[in-house]
Amino acid sequence: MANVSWLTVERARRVVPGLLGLFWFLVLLVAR
Amino acid sequence: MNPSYSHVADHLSDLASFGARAPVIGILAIATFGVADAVAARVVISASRTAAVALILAGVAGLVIAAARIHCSEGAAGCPRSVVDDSTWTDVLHGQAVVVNALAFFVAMMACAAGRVGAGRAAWWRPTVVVLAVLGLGFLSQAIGEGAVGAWQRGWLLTNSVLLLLVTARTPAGTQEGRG
Repeated sequence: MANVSWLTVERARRVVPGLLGLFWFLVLLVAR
Repeated sequence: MNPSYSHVADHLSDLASFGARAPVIGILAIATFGVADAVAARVVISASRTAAVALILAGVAGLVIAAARIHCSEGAAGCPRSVVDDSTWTDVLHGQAVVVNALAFFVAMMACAAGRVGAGRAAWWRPTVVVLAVLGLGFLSQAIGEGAVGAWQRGWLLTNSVLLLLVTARTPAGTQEGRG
Protein backbone atom coordinates (compact mmCIF):
# COMPACT_ATOMS: atom_id res chain seq x y z
CA MET A 1 0.00 0.00 0.00
CA ALA A 2 1.32 3.42 -0.93
CA ASN A 3 2.63 5.62 1.83
CA VAL A 4 0.27 8.60 2.08
CA SER A 5 1.42 9.89 5.46
CA TRP A 6 1.85 13.41 3.99
CA LEU A 7 -1.87 13.51 3.25
CA THR A 8 -3.49 14.40 6.53
CA VAL A 9 -6.83 15.97 7.37
CA GLU A 10 -4.91 18.88 8.85
CA ARG A 11 -2.98 19.51 5.65
CA ALA A 12 -6.11 19.03 3.52
CA ARG A 13 -7.82 21.72 5.58
CA ARG A 14 -4.90 24.09 5.15
CA VAL A 15 -4.79 23.87 1.37
CA VAL A 16 -8.47 24.79 0.94
CA PRO A 17 -7.67 28.42 -0.10
CA GLY A 18 -5.36 27.27 -2.89
CA LEU A 19 -7.83 24.65 -4.07
CA LEU A 20 -10.60 27.27 -4.11
CA GLY A 21 -8.37 29.47 -6.24
CA LEU A 22 -7.57 26.65 -8.65
CA PHE A 23 -11.24 25.74 -8.98
CA TRP A 24 -12.29 29.28 -9.92
CA PHE A 25 -9.26 29.64 -12.16
CA LEU A 26 -10.55 26.63 -14.12
CA VAL A 27 -14.05 28.11 -14.19
CA LEU A 28 -12.63 31.34 -15.62
CA LEU A 29 -10.79 29.35 -18.29
CA VAL A 30 -14.11 28.20 -19.73
CA ALA A 31 -16.78 30.65 -18.54
CA ARG A 32 -17.69 33.56 -20.74
CA MET B 1 -23.62 33.88 -22.17
CA ASN B 2 -21.23 36.49 -23.57
CA PRO B 3 -20.76 35.01 -27.05
CA SER B 4 -17.95 37.16 -28.42
CA TYR B 5 -16.02 37.38 -25.14
CA SER B 6 -12.35 36.46 -25.62
CA HIS B 7 -10.51 34.67 -22.81
CA VAL B 8 -7.28 36.02 -24.27
CA ALA B 9 -8.11 39.60 -25.21
CA ASP B 10 -10.81 40.63 -22.71
CA HIS B 11 -10.42 41.40 -19.02
CA LEU B 12 -11.72 39.09 -16.30
CA SER B 13 -13.55 42.06 -14.81
CA ASP B 14 -15.73 42.27 -17.92
CA LEU B 15 -17.43 39.00 -16.93
CA ALA B 16 -18.50 40.57 -13.63
CA SER B 17 -19.39 43.97 -15.09
CA PHE B 18 -22.61 45.92 -15.34
CA GLY B 19 -23.52 44.97 -18.88
CA ALA B 20 -22.30 41.36 -18.77
CA ARG B 21 -24.73 38.50 -18.96
CA ALA B 22 -24.75 36.30 -15.84
CA PRO B 23 -22.26 38.54 -13.99
CA VAL B 24 -22.70 36.43 -10.86
CA ILE B 25 -20.10 33.94 -12.14
CA GLY B 26 -17.46 36.64 -12.53
CA ILE B 27 -18.39 38.26 -9.21
CA LEU B 28 -18.23 34.93 -7.37
CA ALA B 29 -14.90 34.03 -8.97
CA ILE B 30 -13.26 37.33 -8.03
CA ALA B 31 -14.76 37.34 -4.53
CA THR B 32 -13.60 33.77 -3.92
CA PHE B 33 -9.99 34.79 -4.54
CA GLY B 34 -10.44 37.49 -1.90
CA VAL B 35 -11.90 35.01 0.56
CA ALA B 36 -9.11 32.53 -0.22
CA ASP B 37 -6.48 35.17 0.63
CA ALA B 38 -8.17 35.90 3.95
CA VAL B 39 -8.49 32.20 4.83
CA ALA B 40 -4.82 31.67 3.93
CA ALA B 41 -3.96 34.51 6.34
CA ARG B 42 -5.46 32.46 9.16
CA VAL B 43 -3.19 29.55 8.25
CA VAL B 44 0.11 31.46 8.03
CA ILE B 45 -0.44 33.94 10.88
CA SER B 46 1.63 32.16 13.49
CA ALA B 47 4.51 31.66 11.07
CA SER B 48 4.49 35.19 9.66
CA ARG B 49 2.36 37.99 11.02
CA THR B 50 3.43 40.30 8.17
CA ALA B 51 2.29 37.74 5.61
CA ALA B 52 -1.03 37.33 7.39
CA VAL B 53 -1.71 41.08 7.54
CA ALA B 54 -0.77 41.47 3.87
CA LEU B 55 -3.02 38.54 2.92
CA ILE B 56 -5.94 40.08 4.81
CA LEU B 57 -5.35 43.35 2.96
CA ALA B 58 -5.21 41.45 -0.33
CA GLY B 59 -8.40 39.63 0.63
CA VAL B 60 -10.29 42.84 1.45
CA ALA B 61 -9.06 44.37 -1.81
CA GLY B 62 -10.27 41.25 -3.63
CA LEU B 63 -13.75 41.69 -2.19
CA VAL B 64 -13.68 45.37 -3.21
CA ILE B 65 -12.73 44.31 -6.75
CA ALA B 66 -15.75 42.00 -6.81
CA ALA B 67 -18.13 44.59 -5.35
CA ALA B 68 -16.93 47.65 -7.30
CA ARG B 69 -17.98 46.39 -10.68
CA ILE B 70 -16.93 48.12 -13.87
CA HIS B 71 -19.35 49.29 -16.53
CA CYS B 72 -19.53 47.62 -19.94
CA SER B 73 -22.59 49.19 -21.52
CA GLU B 74 -22.17 47.23 -24.72
CA GLY B 75 -21.56 43.88 -23.05
CA ALA B 76 -18.55 41.99 -21.75
CA ALA B 77 -17.00 41.30 -25.14
CA GLY B 78 -14.55 43.99 -26.20
CA CYS B 79 -15.36 46.19 -23.22
CA PRO B 80 -13.26 49.32 -23.74
CA ARG B 81 -10.63 50.47 -21.23
CA SER B 82 -9.11 53.82 -20.38
CA VAL B 83 -12.16 55.79 -21.43
CA VAL B 84 -11.78 58.28 -18.62
CA ASP B 85 -14.89 60.26 -19.50
CA ASP B 86 -17.03 57.14 -19.13
CA SER B 87 -15.48 56.01 -15.86
CA THR B 88 -17.60 56.01 -12.74
CA TRP B 89 -16.26 55.91 -9.19
CA THR B 90 -16.72 52.15 -9.08
CA ASP B 91 -14.55 51.72 -12.21
CA VAL B 92 -11.83 53.80 -10.58
CA LEU B 93 -12.12 52.00 -7.22
CA HIS B 94 -12.05 48.66 -9.04
CA GLY B 95 -8.75 49.53 -10.71
CA GLN B 96 -7.21 50.80 -7.47
CA ALA B 97 -8.27 47.67 -5.61
CA VAL B 98 -6.61 45.50 -8.27
CA VAL B 99 -3.30 47.29 -7.62
CA VAL B 100 -3.68 47.00 -3.82
CA ASN B 101 -4.58 43.31 -4.10
CA ALA B 102 -1.59 42.54 -6.32
CA LEU B 103 0.97 44.45 -4.24
CA ALA B 104 -0.36 43.12 -0.92
CA PHE B 105 -0.33 39.56 -2.23
CA PHE B 106 3.23 40.02 -3.48
CA VAL B 107 4.36 41.39 -0.10
CA ALA B 108 2.66 38.44 1.62
CA MET B 109 4.52 35.95 -0.54
CA MET B 110 7.85 37.68 0.09
CA ALA B 111 7.13 37.63 3.83
CA CYS B 112 6.32 33.92 3.61
CA ALA B 113 9.57 33.25 1.76
CA ALA B 114 11.57 35.26 4.29
CA GLY B 115 9.71 34.09 7.38
CA ARG B 116 9.06 30.86 9.19
CA VAL B 117 6.54 29.58 6.66
CA GLY B 118 8.28 26.61 5.09
CA ALA B 119 11.03 26.62 7.70
CA GLY B 120 13.07 23.45 7.77
CA ARG B 121 11.56 22.20 4.55
CA ALA B 122 13.02 21.40 1.17
CA ALA B 123 15.52 23.84 -0.34
CA TRP B 124 13.42 24.39 -3.45
CA TRP B 125 10.57 25.94 -1.52
CA ARG B 126 11.73 29.54 -0.91
CA PRO B 127 13.15 30.24 -4.40
CA THR B 128 10.01 28.71 -5.94
CA VAL B 129 7.76 31.07 -3.96
CA VAL B 130 9.88 34.09 -4.93
CA VAL B 131 10.06 33.13 -8.61
CA LEU B 132 6.31 32.44 -8.84
CA ALA B 133 5.45 35.69 -7.08
CA VAL B 134 7.68 37.72 -9.40
CA LEU B 135 6.28 35.83 -12.39
CA GLY B 136 2.71 36.51 -11.23
CA LEU B 137 3.31 40.22 -10.74
CA GLY B 138 4.94 40.27 -14.18
CA PHE B 139 1.85 38.67 -15.70
CA LEU B 140 -0.41 41.26 -14.11
CA SER B 141 1.79 44.16 -15.18
CA GLN B 142 1.51 42.88 -18.75
CA ALA B 143 -2.28 42.92 -18.36
CA ILE B 144 -2.21 46.67 -17.75
CA GLY B 145 -1.22 47.26 -21.35
CA GLU B 146 -2.86 46.29 -24.60
CA GLY B 147 -2.97 42.82 -26.10
CA ALA B 148 -3.59 39.50 -24.39
CA VAL B 149 -4.82 41.03 -21.12
CA GLY B 150 -7.20 38.15 -20.36
CA ALA B 151 -4.46 35.59 -20.79
CA TRP B 152 -2.04 37.54 -18.58
CA GLN B 153 -4.71 37.94 -15.89
CA ARG B 154 -5.45 34.22 -15.95
CA GLY B 155 -1.72 33.57 -15.61
CA TRP B 156 -1.72 35.82 -12.54
CA LEU B 157 -4.64 33.92 -11.00
CA LEU B 158 -2.95 30.57 -11.66
CA THR B 159 0.28 31.68 -9.97
CA ASN B 160 -1.82 33.07 -7.08
CA SER B 161 -3.53 29.74 -6.58
CA VAL B 162 -0.33 27.71 -6.75
CA LEU B 163 1.35 30.12 -4.31
CA LEU B 164 -1.53 29.81 -1.85
CA LEU B 165 -1.21 26.04 -2.07
CA LEU B 166 2.55 26.23 -1.50
CA VAL B 167 2.51 28.57 1.48
CA THR B 168 -0.40 26.91 3.27
CA ALA B 169 0.77 23.34 2.69
CA ARG B 170 4.26 24.30 3.84
CA THR B 171 3.26 26.05 7.03
CA PRO B 172 4.93 23.93 9.72
CA ALA B 173 2.44 21.75 11.58
CA GLY B 174 1.78 22.89 15.10
CA THR B 175 2.41 26.58 14.42
CA GLN B 176 -1.11 27.43 13.47
CA GLU B 177 -3.61 29.52 15.31
CA GLY B 178 -5.00 27.64 18.26
CA ARG B 179 -2.01 25.34 18.57
CA GLY B 180 0.39 26.47 21.20
